[in-house]
Amino acid sequence: MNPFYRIFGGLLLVLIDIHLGQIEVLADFIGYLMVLSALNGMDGNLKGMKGARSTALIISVLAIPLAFIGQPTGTTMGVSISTDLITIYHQFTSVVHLVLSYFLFYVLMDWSRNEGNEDIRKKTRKLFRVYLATHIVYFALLPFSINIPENVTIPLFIVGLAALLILEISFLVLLRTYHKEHQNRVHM
Amino acid sequence: MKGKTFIISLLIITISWGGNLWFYQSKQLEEPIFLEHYYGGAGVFELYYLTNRDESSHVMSVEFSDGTTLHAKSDYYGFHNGNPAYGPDVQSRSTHYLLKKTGFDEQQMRELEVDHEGEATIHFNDGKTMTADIGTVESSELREGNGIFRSQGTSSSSNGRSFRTYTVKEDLKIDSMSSPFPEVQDDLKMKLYAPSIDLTGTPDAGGPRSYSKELDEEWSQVAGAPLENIDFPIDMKQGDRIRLTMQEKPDSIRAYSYEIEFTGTSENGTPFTQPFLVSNHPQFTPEQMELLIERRGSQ
Repeated sequence: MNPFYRIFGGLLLVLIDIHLGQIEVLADFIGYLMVLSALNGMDGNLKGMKGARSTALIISVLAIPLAFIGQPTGTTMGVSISTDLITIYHQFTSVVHLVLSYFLFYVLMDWSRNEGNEDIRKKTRKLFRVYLATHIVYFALLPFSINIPENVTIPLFIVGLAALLILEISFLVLLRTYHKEHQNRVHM
Repeated sequence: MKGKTFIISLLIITISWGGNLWFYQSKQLEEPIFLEHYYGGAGVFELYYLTNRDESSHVMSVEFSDGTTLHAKSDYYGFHNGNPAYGPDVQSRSTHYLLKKTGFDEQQMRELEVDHEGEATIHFNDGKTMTADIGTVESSELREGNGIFRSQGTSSSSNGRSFRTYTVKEDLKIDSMSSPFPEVQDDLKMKLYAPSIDLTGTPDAGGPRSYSKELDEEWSQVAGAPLENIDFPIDMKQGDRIRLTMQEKPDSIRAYSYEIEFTGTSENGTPFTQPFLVSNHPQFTPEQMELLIERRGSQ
């Protein structure tokens, strides 16, 4: 299995949440470990690789408890976000996830440059900008939801979550493209 | 995006979290704030109080200043274990607060002859206890009808308007009016209509259709004269209608349920007393909640 496919699989595992009671069946930390092992199998000199590896390691450890503490109260009791420690821990993990994505984008762009594939590099660059900008705006605005009325936050929440989901899927699709490029190269 | 920009972005996210959590924390109440209640033993007895939005406890019992203790009706908490903001006792909610209500049994209150003023000791179901000024709570005997006034209808609307209408069965004279809580009248505009009063208007025929119309009308168009301008005695003929219309002011943050009494004599000389129930069921806007905290918080 080539490294891009493993990154793809790992991030897909993180995206999909299946809970049996408190326990998450497809635990996020397993997904992050897959990403970490994929990165370890790649060229260490790629730009962003060092950051990506260390972030993947940190989040793999950080995400272990997530599999056992269940969903934060904010998602099980309506849309409004609460201020307990579990919610803050969840949000912190999401931000670390963003850092991981940031480095992964760098790795991808450097890899495609080395391959001399300008098309896919440009595509990656475009998604990188939108992905990052949207996430930063979302994460910066999210905490305001504890202090402003529900009828304002709920529609914003829905729009924001939809945008994030679309971007997350676009990222996965992009990784699949890399996987195919990689395969083509091997077969050539 | 360069590394520096990214780090600054992460910093902004952290500041946003810190700032919002700090603001949220600064809005939290140390303990619930009770409304000022004016209960004269008529109608229901319900305690209203403001809590933090994530507060799931509710009132179990109240010790009054005369030493009596009443337990709250608890029948509707049985199956609720979800978000406190959507509990059965929540009357209004804002981003940070909940206005909650606890009901008590009026029959039991009458048996105990509760007579309370000022500080009460309140026990919550999570074991906490606090003292708070809850206002005045009195019980009274159930009143027997006088057979002279026949209720024509009562109506109330969410804009704080309500009225009570009676027709009289014989000729009579109303000599005076008294209220156990004249201070509540600061929160409440009242107009009394009777055919012999100098009035600003006449209510329609009194059928059900007129109710909703009068509930929405401008206060100046409401039939009758302001209660404080009325000259007693009021003469009434058999079949005349008398209507008391009440309008709560927007900054009213008290809970009340009591009777204004009109006393007089009937045609054949028998004295009578006719009560008019004055009561509200507070529902607060976020602004009224802030007003309550300003007026009654950390006393």
